[in-house]
Amino acid sequence: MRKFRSEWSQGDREGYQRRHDVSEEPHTSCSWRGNQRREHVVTPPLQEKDSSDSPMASAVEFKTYVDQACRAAEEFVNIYYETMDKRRRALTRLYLDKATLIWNGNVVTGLEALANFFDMLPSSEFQVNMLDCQPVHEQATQAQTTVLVVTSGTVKFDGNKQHYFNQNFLLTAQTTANNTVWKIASDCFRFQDWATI
Amino acid sequence: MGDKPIWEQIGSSFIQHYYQLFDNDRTQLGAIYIDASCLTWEGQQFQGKAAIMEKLSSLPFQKIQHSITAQDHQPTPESCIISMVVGQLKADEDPIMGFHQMFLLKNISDAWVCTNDMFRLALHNFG
Repeated sequence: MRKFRSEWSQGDREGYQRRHDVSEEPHTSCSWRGNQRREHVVTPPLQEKDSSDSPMASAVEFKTYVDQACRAAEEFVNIYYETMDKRRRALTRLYLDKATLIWNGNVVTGLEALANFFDMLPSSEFQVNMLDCQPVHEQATQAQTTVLVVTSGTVKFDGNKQHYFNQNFLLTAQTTANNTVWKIASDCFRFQDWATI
Repeated sequence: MGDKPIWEQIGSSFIQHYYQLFDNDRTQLGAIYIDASCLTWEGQQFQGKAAIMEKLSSLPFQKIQHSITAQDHQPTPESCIISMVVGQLKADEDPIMGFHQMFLLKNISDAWVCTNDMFRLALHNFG
């Protein structure tokens, strides 16, 4: 009896998958298909938040800010997994110099270690089924634009058995007048393997 | 000595505290959130302590029990801690379900609060 499944989950569970069906128009400002060979994730600059006093205005602004951040996150995620699967050697360009990855409990810090790690990791085939993201409030980040992203789905390494995985990213934005470049500050990956009941 | 790094100690203390409160009386969770906190619960967004507490208090089960399979903690560039948890839970008499949850913790006036919280059940029935 699974009565709580629907009650737990009033959110948009199929949303990410639906948006990324091949036949649909992507809703980011640049077509993700056109960006497949990019080595960096660049988006239009995030709008500055006005310091407005009206609660209504700030609720709307907050939502806009969240939407923008989440669109950037989705674009990032698409490029990340594409790069991981098809251009593995370019993957470290998506990380900050001092970024840390924890991969199934193994800590990997810094670009050199990350490069070695990704080099040794067998070839992958990722399928992302879910994505959640949140902007981090400036109170927590001293004005550096930061977005948290959680993904889950399935992955096969070297064509072997399929695993369910969860991954979370902390992305930071380096903003210039013309664009915003996103990089990974923290990355954490785990298999979610099932105990068969 | 093989002492765990400080962020792991803080992260795992927080996790233990969070799930203990959640399982015993989740209305007590208010203290860990602030007005700037965001919760994404199964894809739904909630902003601010009040909205978050309303959501958590109104979840439709009497009994809930979480069991943690794995947890990972990392410090962030801005002296926050990011914690990821993978585990299983059982609500009332329902079958056990997998879940994963991510927290961003910040130290404000000597207390660690949660500014970002994202929860998902591990359901694999897409399409």
